[in-house]
Amino acid sequence: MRTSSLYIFLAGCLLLMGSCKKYLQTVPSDVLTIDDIFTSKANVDQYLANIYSSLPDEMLQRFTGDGNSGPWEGASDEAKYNWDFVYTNQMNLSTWSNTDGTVETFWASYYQAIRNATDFMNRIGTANPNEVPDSLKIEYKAEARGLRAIYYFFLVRMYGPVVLLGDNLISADASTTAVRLPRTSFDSCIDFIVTQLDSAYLNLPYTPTGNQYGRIVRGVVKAYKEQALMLAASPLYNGNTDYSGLKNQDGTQLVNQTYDPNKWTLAANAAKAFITEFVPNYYSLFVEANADPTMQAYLSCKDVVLQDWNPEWIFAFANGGSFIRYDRTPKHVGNPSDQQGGGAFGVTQAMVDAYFMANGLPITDPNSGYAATGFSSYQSVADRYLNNQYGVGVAPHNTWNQWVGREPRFYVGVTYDSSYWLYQDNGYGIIQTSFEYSGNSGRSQSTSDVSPTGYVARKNCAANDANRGALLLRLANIYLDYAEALNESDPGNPDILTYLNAIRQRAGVPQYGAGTNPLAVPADQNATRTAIRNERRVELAFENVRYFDTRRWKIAPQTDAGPFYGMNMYGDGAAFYQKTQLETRVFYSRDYLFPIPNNEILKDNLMVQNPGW
Amino acid sequence: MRKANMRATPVALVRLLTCLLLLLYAGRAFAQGPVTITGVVKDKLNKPLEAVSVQVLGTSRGVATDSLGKFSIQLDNPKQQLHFSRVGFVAQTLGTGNSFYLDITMDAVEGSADEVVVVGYGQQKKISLVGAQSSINVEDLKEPVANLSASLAGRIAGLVGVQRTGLPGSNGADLWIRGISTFVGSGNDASPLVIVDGVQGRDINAFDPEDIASFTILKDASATAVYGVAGANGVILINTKKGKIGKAVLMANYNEGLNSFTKLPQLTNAYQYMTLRNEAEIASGFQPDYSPAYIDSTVAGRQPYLYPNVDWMKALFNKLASSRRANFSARGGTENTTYYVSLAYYDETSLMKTDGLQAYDADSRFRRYNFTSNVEMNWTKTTKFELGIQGYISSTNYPGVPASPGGPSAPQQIFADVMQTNPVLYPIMYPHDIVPGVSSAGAQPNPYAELTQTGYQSIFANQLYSNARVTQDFSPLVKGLSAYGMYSFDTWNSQTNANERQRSSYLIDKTTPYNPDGSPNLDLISTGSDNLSFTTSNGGNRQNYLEAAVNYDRNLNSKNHLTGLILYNQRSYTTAFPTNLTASLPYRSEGLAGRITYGYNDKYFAEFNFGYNGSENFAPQNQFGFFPSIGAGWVLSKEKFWNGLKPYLQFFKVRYSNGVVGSGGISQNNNVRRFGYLTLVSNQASGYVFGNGVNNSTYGGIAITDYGTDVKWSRSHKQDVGVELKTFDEKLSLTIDYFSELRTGVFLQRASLADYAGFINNPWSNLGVLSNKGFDGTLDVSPFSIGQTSWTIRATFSYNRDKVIQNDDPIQPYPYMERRGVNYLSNFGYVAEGLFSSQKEIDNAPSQAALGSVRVGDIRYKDLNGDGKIDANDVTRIGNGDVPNLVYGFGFNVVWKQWNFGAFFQGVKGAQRQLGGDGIFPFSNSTGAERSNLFTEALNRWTPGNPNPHAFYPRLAYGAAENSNNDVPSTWWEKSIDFLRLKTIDFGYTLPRGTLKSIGLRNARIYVQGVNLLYWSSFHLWDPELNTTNGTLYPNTRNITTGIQVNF
Repeated sequence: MRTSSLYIFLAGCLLLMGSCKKYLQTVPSDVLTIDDIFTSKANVDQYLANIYSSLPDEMLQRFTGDGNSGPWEGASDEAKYNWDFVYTNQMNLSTWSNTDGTVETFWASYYQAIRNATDFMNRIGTANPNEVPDSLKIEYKAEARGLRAIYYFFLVRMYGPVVLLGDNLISADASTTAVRLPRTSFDSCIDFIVTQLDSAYLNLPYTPTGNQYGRIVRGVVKAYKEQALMLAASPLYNGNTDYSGLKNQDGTQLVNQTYDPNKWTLAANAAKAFITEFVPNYYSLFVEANADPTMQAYLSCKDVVLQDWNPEWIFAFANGGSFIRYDRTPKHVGNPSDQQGGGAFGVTQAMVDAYFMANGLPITDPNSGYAATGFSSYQSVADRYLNNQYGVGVAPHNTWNQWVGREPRFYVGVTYDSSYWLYQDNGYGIIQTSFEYSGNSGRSQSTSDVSPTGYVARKNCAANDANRGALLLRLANIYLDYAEALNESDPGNPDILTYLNAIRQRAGVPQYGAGTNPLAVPADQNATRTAIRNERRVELAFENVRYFDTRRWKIAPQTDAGPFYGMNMYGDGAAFYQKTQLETRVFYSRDYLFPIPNNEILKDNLMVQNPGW
Repeated sequence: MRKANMRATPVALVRLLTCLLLLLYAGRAFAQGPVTITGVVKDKLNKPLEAVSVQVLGTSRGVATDSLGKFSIQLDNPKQQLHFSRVGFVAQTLGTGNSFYLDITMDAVEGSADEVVVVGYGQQKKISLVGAQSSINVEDLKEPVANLSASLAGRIAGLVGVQRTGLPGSNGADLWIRGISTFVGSGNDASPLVIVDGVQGRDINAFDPEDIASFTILKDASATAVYGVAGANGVILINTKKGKIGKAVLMANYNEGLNSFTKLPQLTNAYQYMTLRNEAEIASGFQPDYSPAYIDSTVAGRQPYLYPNVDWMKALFNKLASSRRANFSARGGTENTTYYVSLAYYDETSLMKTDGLQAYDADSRFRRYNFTSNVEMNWTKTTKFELGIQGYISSTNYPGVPASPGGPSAPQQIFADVMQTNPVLYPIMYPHDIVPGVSSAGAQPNPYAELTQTGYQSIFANQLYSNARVTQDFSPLVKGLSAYGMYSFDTWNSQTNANERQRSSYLIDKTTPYNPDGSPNLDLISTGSDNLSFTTSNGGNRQNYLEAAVNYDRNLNSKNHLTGLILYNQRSYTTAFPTNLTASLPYRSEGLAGRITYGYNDKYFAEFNFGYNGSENFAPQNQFGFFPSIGAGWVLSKEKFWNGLKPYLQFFKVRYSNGVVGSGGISQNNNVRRFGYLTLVSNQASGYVFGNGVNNSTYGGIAITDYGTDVKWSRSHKQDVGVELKTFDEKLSLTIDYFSELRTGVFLQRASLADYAGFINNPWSNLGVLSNKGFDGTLDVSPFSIGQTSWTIRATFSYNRDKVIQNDDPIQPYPYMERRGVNYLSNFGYVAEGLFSSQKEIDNAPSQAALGSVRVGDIRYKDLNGDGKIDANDVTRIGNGDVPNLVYGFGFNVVWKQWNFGAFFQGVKGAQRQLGGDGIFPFSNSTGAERSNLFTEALNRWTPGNPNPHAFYPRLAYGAAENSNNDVPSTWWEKSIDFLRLKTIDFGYTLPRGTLKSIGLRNARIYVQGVNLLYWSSFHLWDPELNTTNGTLYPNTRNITTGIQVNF
């Protein structure tokens, strides 16, 4: 009997051991594998969608780097965030560092998208032909190629010359030493971007099928080709001897040292080619028709950024989230909570001053009629819009003279003290913004949720924060690029004023040498350059363009350094209307470029750092 | 017969059992007059005990057991009792019931040569141990705390423990054995393996301390190698109480206590806050926010709604809360069946206030009901069956306190809320129960409203532990051979019901503060709801565990002793509410363990242990790992040459062990990626929505998130040298161990791959290498007398230092920046050299521009690389981190007549914390400087008028940008959090026996206990044990309890 229990016991053990082999086989066999991605169209679509998802959602800029949103607005001379946590404050004082996580975010996430795009391109050919027809494979591959080139463009625009990986994928078990690569020269980066975009063009449609706005189409790749060539022609990279020391360890010069005027010609040609091929069939300047020409200009300039995929939009992050509404709605204490915001995205006095007068002249022009002091009873075009929209009956009211009689784009762009809020809630009292110390949006209400300057940007502030397109590139950029490149390569070409005036006409301001009440034509190439730059600053304000412009023109030491001004946030009444210095911005020559993230330098001993970092 | 048994079915077993029971019952029926009792006496290792005196109580009749432990003795009648005694063993008296045959197990006296201790998968004589392990006298654990873990630190050599918060329901301690020797930051688990009643993976805090019989920690390779891949962090072995032969002993214990905070952060009052804020604003070039008139009005307090003045800590917390504990247990048995059953109740309320106005119950309260039922049966003379069922039901109630506006409940958040709410922001409440607020987005929520107005959540949880074990003794067949099989099923479930709300908030109008009727004119700030909204969530897990083993244990002759063990086990753990398929898969491991021990004459000992384990987590070729260890011990004091030393050292033993243990297997506690060998494709990646908002095409996202690599077990090579000695007539015993560990192949995510490789998550690899060395020791003084008092004293310490050897970080530009070569949890930061005393000093010092603008009174940092500027290249190791190097404890117990008094002190050394965050960095919250409260330490600051270079704070400034130079991690903010704590005192009176017998009680004791009564520390801001950089955790509590324990 006892022997038998031993046998039973041993038999039991054997039984257990027999089942052991399978015991550990709990592999998740039915999860998606790397090969499953290309077995169905649904998966292919999702893989490609993920590559798109790295496009920057510039409406998230409050948290620099969220959704790859950049510091472009707060770190330009257009605006200042009052919140200390916003990275742009560090950039403005030049206390940012190559060890900052924000610096690494863009670098890492664009390269992740680049890796996925390359993997997609390498393997889309193997996709299940029953689900993904060859024609679609070719088109999708071109989309991925176009996206990859655009991501490289974003990297180059920030960091200068970068590491070009081509069609190679670095293996997961590669040894650390095996993956060390040097940077590629700037011109080679641009060449790669341009040829890739040209190559993608061949297999792309003109318009997205099925209203799938946001897909890479022919216009997008040609527009970014033009953008890349503009960057290459600009002073920052075109024979910039400040970068003579930027060399790889093997001596390769990373930024060319001789000015090449032909680069402007290439850029002008690319812009012209774009206009010829796509305008007006696919893109045109957005106009919201109205019997009142000032109202038409106001509505057109206000809605060109708000109305998703109007004919002027070339590229955007489709259906992105937004923090803009809270940033750009003043605090408005005591009003309906929907209309209470943080209002911390302040417009600088420099930007306020950059807007033209209604007569098209800059405020510095003695004939402009600009008055820096005093008050007038004034009804702005924005007030009239409110009356039409909400029937609130805003009458002419006491307004500081600096804000009286400006061009429509000023009223599109800026919320100033005593102006009426862009949105009103029917049934509540009318909402008027007061930035004075004790006002509903003044500093006595909060030291953080308050404008630092006494102005808040109102451009691109939508009625609600629902997902919408975050504009990346519109036709106005191309027009102004064209005018600029032509003025550099072929001064006096009549196209320069044609396209510059097209922008002014839409904005409801008198044109140079054309239309009603024309202004004098700029005297020479220099004057034309100034006119183009001033127009760009106003037309593309708060659209993430100014930051790059001041850098590629090499004027940032003038525009982004020194004292910045606003109103006196500690004052009530007359005390408020004092031009008050907010801060002194600092710009070192290193600040032209983002630093290569310090970790990359430590990991890769072939990687050289940007000058000054 | 043999054939029949081969087909043994449950039915056959039941029949057999019934027969046996009938036979036993028959035996009872016939016993009347004089009877002869036979039996056998064994020790805990199931070895026969010779020369045990067996005495019939009340007579002079007595016999002694023979070499097989057998005895035979006559009783005049079955009611007479037998008394068993032997030197070195605990004497027993018991009635025979109606049995003719007794199977007696005797326990060795603690510290005697025959003492038996628990080891991995078994028991051994303590003298024969070659591995490093420590155990604790479980009586010491009986503190009025809900969680066992909170009472362990300092009591056991080798155990490092810290209690991180005192919130009822989550006040367990973090425990490590011999410190941390893995990359916890990479998600590796540093916690020891907890084994309760032989089952792995149970929760140390799920048991009532009253139900614990033994508590042991296994520290070195020799002791833990049998656990193979699960043993590298050490093992905690807990056995619950079992039954005992004899009449039922009933025990009841009841106590009730009062809790208060050990330390509550001290914040500035309204006047201090306003003057300091004005000072900071002026220093930063802003205008002051509070006029003298405003300050006067606030201090005068005549218009509290317009000029609020609130002490938030006082508004939120009560002075006292209560706790209550009750235990009942019954223990007894006959020779065939013994049992231990118990019920326990624990109830603790928190110090957080409720407003008493709400219809719902937002009290914070933790209640737990534990139950234990351990039954042992002898089915045959050689077949033993054990069934253990333990568990609890718990119910926890918390106030709503959302982590963020409208978010899930998180009671600790209330402290973070206070750190953002200054005393003059708004009143506690406006009239008519209206909630004050300042932000439409919900920032700076009113702490009092968060605590009392946001609803509640209630958490119900239940835990069931079960294990059944059959042991068969094959001794009659092969001498010393036995085998057992065990199966266990554990399950835990919880449900959280939340019924929460966020109410509308209002603020008094700054221009027209009052309505014509004199009531405050309130502006709407945020729109909320007075209606509660219900959400529910579930948690749970289950575990199956199977173990079978064959044991061999035999004295080959009087001197040679050999034991052997071979064991198979498998474990499967499943999460009940997985969020994806991979998480739904069970965590599994299986393996073999083996042991051979050899002892010669209780003088020389040798052991070989191994574990061979596999886990589902690795590719098939890497699934299994082999982990061997050897150990040897030598009792020098038994040698002839020692005789001369005997008067000084009565006992002296050295032991050494060397072996390899693994980790990285079952890893439900880890965040290390599962199935590291598989390439993971996520279909939850970011997708994209094409379209213009009207016609949208939505695509989910697929991305290759993790590439697979050839990962396997990490290995830990451990060595241990131990010395055990006894002196002063064996009254004083001392054990000291030196250990050294090298852990290689620790999982980590590769850090040296450049970002441009484009991996979403860098691949994992077995690249981490870490060493850990240290000492631990125990000093025990067995009872000695001074006059009429009897004393016991015990002290322990644990000291260790770990060091990162490889972490796959890129080589740092300067050696002092390396995280290799220093302990894993090291704090890094700048080296503060004091405060700038003049602009001239700033101008001449290395530039600190990279850290922000610098003013006089700012912290000056050391330029470590001498490049003339302070930047990230000047960061170096500035502290050890928050886990101490040294944990120690000492205590004594003194008995005088019926009175006893005991005290236990516990302390840590070598722990530092880097302070930071709201409240600590004044006016520095980057979302708004006003979102920062102030500790009263802010009064001790540098000012131009009082340029104290040793002030707690540098000069005050307003705004994160203005403070950025001072707010970087540096030695300035690195504070020692060492402490010594009077952890417990116990004062009791045992009622004299005579008085009790008349009322049917065996004994009774009345006691007063205190926990966390006092502490001494150079750190004054909050209880130094809390895991927080700015005091935003529910503090630890001081507890004073009175109670009575009665045995029937």
